[in-house]
Amino acid sequence: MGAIEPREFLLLAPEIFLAVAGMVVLAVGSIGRGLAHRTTALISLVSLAVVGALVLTVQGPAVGGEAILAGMFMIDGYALFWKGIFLLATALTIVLSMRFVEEGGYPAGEFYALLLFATTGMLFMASGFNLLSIWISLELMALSSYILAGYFKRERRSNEAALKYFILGALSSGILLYGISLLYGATGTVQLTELAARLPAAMAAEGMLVSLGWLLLAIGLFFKVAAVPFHVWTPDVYVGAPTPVTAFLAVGSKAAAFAILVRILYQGLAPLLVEWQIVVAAVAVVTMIWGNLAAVTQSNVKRMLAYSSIAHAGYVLIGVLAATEDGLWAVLFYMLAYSFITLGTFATVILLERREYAGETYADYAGLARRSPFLAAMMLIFMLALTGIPPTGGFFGKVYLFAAAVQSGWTWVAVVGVLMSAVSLYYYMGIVVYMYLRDAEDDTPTPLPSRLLAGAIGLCAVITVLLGILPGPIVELAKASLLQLP
Amino acid sequence: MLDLLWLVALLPFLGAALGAVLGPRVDKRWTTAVALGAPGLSLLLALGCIFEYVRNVSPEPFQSVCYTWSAAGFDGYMAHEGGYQRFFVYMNLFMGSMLLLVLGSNYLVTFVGWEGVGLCSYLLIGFYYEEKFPPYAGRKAFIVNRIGDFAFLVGLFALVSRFGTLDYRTIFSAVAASPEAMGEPYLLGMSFAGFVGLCLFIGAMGKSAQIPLYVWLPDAMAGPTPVSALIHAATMVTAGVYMVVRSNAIYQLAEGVSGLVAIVGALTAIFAATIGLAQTDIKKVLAYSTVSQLGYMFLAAGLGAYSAAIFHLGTHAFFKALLFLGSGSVIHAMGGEQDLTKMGGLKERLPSTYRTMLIGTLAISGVPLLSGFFSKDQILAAAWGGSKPLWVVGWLTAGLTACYMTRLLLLTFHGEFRGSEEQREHLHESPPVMTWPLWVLATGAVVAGYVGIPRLGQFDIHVFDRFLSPVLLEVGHHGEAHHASVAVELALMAASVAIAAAGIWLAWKIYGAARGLEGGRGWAERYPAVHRALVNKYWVDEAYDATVVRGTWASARGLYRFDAGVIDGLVNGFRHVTVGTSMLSGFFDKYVVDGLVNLVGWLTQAGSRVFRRLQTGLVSQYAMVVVAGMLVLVFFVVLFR
Amino acid sequence: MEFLVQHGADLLFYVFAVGALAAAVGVITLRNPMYCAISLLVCFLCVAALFLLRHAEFLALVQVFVYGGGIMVLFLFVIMLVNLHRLRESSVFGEYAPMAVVLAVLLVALVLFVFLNYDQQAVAAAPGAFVSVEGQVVGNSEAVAWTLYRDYLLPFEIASVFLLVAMVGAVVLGRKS
Repeated sequence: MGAIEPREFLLLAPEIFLAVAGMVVLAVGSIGRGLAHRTTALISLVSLAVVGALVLTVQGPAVGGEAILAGMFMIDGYALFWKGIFLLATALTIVLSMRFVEEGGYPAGEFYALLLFATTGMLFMASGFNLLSIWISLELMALSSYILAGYFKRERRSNEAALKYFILGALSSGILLYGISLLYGATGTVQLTELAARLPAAMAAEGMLVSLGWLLLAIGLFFKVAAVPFHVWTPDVYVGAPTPVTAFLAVGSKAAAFAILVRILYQGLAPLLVEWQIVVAAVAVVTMIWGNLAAVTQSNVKRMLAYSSIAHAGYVLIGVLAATEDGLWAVLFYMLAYSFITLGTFATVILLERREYAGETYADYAGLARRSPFLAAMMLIFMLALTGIPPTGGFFGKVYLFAAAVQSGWTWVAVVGVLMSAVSLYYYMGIVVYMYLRDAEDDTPTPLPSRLLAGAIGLCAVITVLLGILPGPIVELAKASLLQLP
Repeated sequence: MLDLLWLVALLPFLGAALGAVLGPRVDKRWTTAVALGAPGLSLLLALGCIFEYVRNVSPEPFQSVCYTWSAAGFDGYMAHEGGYQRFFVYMNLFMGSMLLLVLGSNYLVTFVGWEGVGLCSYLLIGFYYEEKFPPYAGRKAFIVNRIGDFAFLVGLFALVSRFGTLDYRTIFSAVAASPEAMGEPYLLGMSFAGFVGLCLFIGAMGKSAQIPLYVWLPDAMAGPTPVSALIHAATMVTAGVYMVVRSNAIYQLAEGVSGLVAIVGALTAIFAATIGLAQTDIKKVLAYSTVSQLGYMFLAAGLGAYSAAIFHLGTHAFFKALLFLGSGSVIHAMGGEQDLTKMGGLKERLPSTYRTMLIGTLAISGVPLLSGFFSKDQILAAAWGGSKPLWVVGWLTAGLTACYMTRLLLLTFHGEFRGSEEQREHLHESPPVMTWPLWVLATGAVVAGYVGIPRLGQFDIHVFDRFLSPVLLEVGHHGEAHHASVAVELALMAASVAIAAAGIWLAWKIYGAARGLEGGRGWAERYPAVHRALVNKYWVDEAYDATVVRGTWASARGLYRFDAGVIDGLVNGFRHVTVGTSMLSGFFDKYVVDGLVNLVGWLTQAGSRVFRRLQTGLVSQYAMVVVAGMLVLVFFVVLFR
Repeated sequence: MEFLVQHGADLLFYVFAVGALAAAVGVITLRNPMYCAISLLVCFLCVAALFLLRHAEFLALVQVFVYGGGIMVLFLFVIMLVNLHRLRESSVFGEYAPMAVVLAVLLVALVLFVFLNYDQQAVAAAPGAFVSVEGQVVGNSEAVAWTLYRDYLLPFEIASVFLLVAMVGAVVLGRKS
């Protein structure tokens, strides 16, 4: 652990810029009467774009895999891929939020600043190569999320969601930290490559301590990706939080948690491969079964989507479980596709919410095909994609995940995945049935309140379909973004 | 791009499914958008594929060819102004099946598409199911096609029993590897190649309306618009030709059957052409013309000139689509009137339609430098090299074609108007949405022939041959070897131009100037027997009715009596047993099946109760769930590792 | 006496550990808010003592200053300002209390099981780690400074953003709108 070169800070330019941008947004939002909502959102979007450019230009040349700051911050293709997903997800979330925040009359500066801070945390997570820095960036993201979930403080549900999320999040964070400290106790390091190097010896000496340590660490991450049985917070928080925030949680938070889960399991805990594979398999199976079955019984669309996002975490865990290159790029591809599909779905839900929370039951979707054929068609595409029906990105994502699991010998898990996808058809198509086959009480056409939002939905739908028709380029990109495998 | 070929066929199916789901609930504009969008996209993809194919050759050339012809179909399709959701669903289903048929890389997929287009044609012909004739015509088409399909299926069984696969390339390379094995006696005194070839050809006869299975096609004109007529007459029917050419490896080894194909084709060509001379329904004339042109294609295929067959198929698609759409424009202008005797003198009122149809007529008649000339000339050249009598038949047919097409044109556009006053008021040129496709197709009808300029000695720029060459394997000892000398080639051209001119002249003589119908009546009076035979289409329908249809009815009645007498006795005996069993199964239903159904419902209810109980909203309880889950996992790993 | 000399540090550890735990239990069970706050203070001080036992003098002092001093004062201010004399009788776990007890017992049993099987001799991080920098013995404050501002600079900086977010959150959620 020698001195730090200035060059290493230059390599951190994107993350630093984003944090500063968050502070600027915060500042301009509170000067005088503050800037208009739109201006704030625009500043945030522009800074995200700049960050994207910085990631490519500053960190791009180092994708060979360079660990800087004493092995604490890793720049590799894997991190860059995830950073891309995070930036896109945040940008879309901002677009989704604009009308929502404006109509709710809540301060915009803090809202967007918190989103940017959460994204900063995510970027650090993607590159985190030391359990300590990973943990603190996770907390940065989580704390911002707690506040965002409770941002509509006039709504009781929003308050409740924030509080629940905070308490349970703190619990999981404690578990995670306890796991990290046990690992540190057994090996004397929290840096991932060193951890992997010292683990075999520590296993021989302190087997049980190491097992407990990594398990608690994994459980803390399972909580963040909302895997059963650590998913309990998800339905209440997803329903209670403002819908754009829900979208952000379902996409950004989940993706970031997967980014570090995979990195830690594959690189830090590589010597324990056999042990963690069993646990991940068990959790994946339980998650898929529980998530899908619970989704079947829901009558609130947001709640159904919450369970659906739980089920999708299960599918991704299948790819994690494979622990092969195929599994890894399948996870990357799936998370990218899933991000667009989910953001599109929530954007559609947002467009349909008349006031802050109305329009969330299945019945509110009755006759949508007649009231707003565009939204109905978009929703149809997203539901098909979530089910995994071609030609959508969801289809290829699932195929790749399941294929990777089968190739690495986890056929029975893949079989459960396929069966549960069939179950999911029931509740996704439930919405479609309501949209197309039920008559609405009120047949007047629903106007599109925001053309920007409609554009975002269309974009998500186009990408969803494109990924289903031309998965090639993204697959190639994901294949170029692999980690070194155990 | 070629990797995406499967999407080309899938898109129309999706369009159909979407259209069916949307149904009449949504606005017509949406239906139209879906119905036109899906095939439109697939057309773009297909064009992309063709483009890529042309740049780097791969072994699926054929498939791409057929898009030109599907494209022609789309053009016409676009011309139809909006309309029924059901119609569009059928149309998309048809597109999908057709694309499946031509894109399939094995016989089975082709067969699925084959059956799919059969079904769609049944649905489309019987579209006006509340009227009397269309459903009948639909059934007729379906049954006649089934006869062919049955033979096709038998052929497929034979193939699969021999090769264990239905994949084109595997089969053809196996055939090419051991041509001798194909020649050994197989069934009914035929060689294997002969038997399979015959079966496939019977299938093709049904689909492509060849003697004796052509009867359904003219009746198929009962379908709704000229567009559906177009898909029947210009698109679907070529599937048989496609299939025979695709299977050329087999036909090359089955000389007898190839000869039969050529003879049937030639006979159909001249037979249908003569009937066409006397029909008065504008759509029926075109239908018989199609049958006749298909005969040409089979003639070429039977003679081993596979490239010529497909070439003619392509050019024919252009001018026949043009003619059908032109007739559609005429019928539209006449307020639904299809009878030629009620038309006349439309030239001034429908200038665009007239000019484009004139081009189409000249093209199909084989006037030099238009597309029909090149393709027909290639077929006739092949016939000259293969068999002189067949050449004579084909040559005469060319004259007849020129004659009946000119007659159609003269009766429609020249002379005096013969319709009612009301219709005269109604006359108008079609809107641009209909005339534009006409002009596009007319351009095609003029230039499409130039991809296949005939080989004259060293002067060889026949692009089309090279495009197809990967599919046309040289199997056994002979291929497409009938290249006549330049002098003969030029002489043949002169001969076909002469007969075409003669045909046009004859038609002009009879119907031209102001003579109109009077001229035709004069000739009918001079040769009453011939005229009656032609008008009644040689009484073929009646003959079928008397033999096949009545025979079937008679045997059905016989079977019914057998049924009533013998079987019913047995049945009554069984009844008592059945009643007993049904009581048992009633119990089963009531207690077991109902029980199961109730169980499922109960499970869902109970499930949601469980979920609700677990999802109470109490944070402390959630925390307990998390801790419990953690404990389970930890015990699982720490204690049992 | 011999025993005390040899195991004095261990004994002190257990004394303060038990003290910290007992105080923590007091925080959540006592009904008078003032008593709760005092229990919390005791808990903080016990933890500070534990830090001292591990030669982390700087941490121990910070624990006393920041938690025992600053944060405690804030708590007491709040309690006095909102005039909270007695908390409402409420059961946190309600009908699930037995379940919670079972879980807690299992958790404790598990941790005990793991640590009783744990070989004391194989402690990876030596105590000297808190007073040396690259082999040279320095003061604990200096060692902490080096660790924080060089080795773990990145987490430290992220933590600063984290605290900013916490502040923003408190303002946003607490502000009257």
